[in-house]
Amino acid sequence: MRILVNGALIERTPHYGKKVLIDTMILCYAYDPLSPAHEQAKAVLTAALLGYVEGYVSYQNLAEFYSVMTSSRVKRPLVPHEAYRIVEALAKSRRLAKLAPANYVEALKHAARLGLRGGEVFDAVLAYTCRGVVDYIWTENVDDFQHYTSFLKAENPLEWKWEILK
Amino acid sequence: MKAVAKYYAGKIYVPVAVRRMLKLRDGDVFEIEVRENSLVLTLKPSEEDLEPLRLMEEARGVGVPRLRRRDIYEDTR
Repeated sequence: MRILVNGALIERTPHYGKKVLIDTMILCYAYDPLSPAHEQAKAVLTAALLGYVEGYVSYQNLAEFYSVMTSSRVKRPLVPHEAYRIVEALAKSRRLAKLAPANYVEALKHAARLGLRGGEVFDAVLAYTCRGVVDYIWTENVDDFQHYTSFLKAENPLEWKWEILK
Repeated sequence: MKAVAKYYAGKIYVPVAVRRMLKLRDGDVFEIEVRENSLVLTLKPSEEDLEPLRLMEEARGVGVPRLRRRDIYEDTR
């Protein structure tokens, strides 16, 4: 299976071998064929699962995935055991490294300094979990990570054209 | 990445850096291809590695809306 990004084999792009955390909504779209972003997200996650990029997820992402996919905000929510089956498969994959939330106090200190409120604090926790481990976060919500550019670059891979060649 | 590996008594010893990079485990399976003087080893994905890909193929439509990260933590019931 080969993967193209903007028409080039991923091995021949700057993305090859990048240390990248795959954010929650990309995981959700990858497992939702109804999503307009499904094909793109599926290719992104496949690139990580096949080792074309050094892919990471935080356990926080896995919990967020479970939360979104089983909630009433989606049209046809997964039942808990369906969501867990996917989470378990991602957790067991060796090609996708798992990060445990870390640097909590620093993250909360940073959040307080910036005046972050509500759910935004979890962006700080995720960013500080990445610090020193991964270089990039691939997320649809690049703006949410603008406060952490000194140690984490945010990119939206859904803006690129992805193709899977079988 | 290039590395040197030693052959001895039917075994090829894979350098630590390569083992770490590929996250090799005991029992991993390689496809072997011989090309003149070269030996090309291709790591075959394990069942554990294939399962998330299989589940993506089998996924049913859920209808996830586009959510900002902060929305993930709102109204989660």
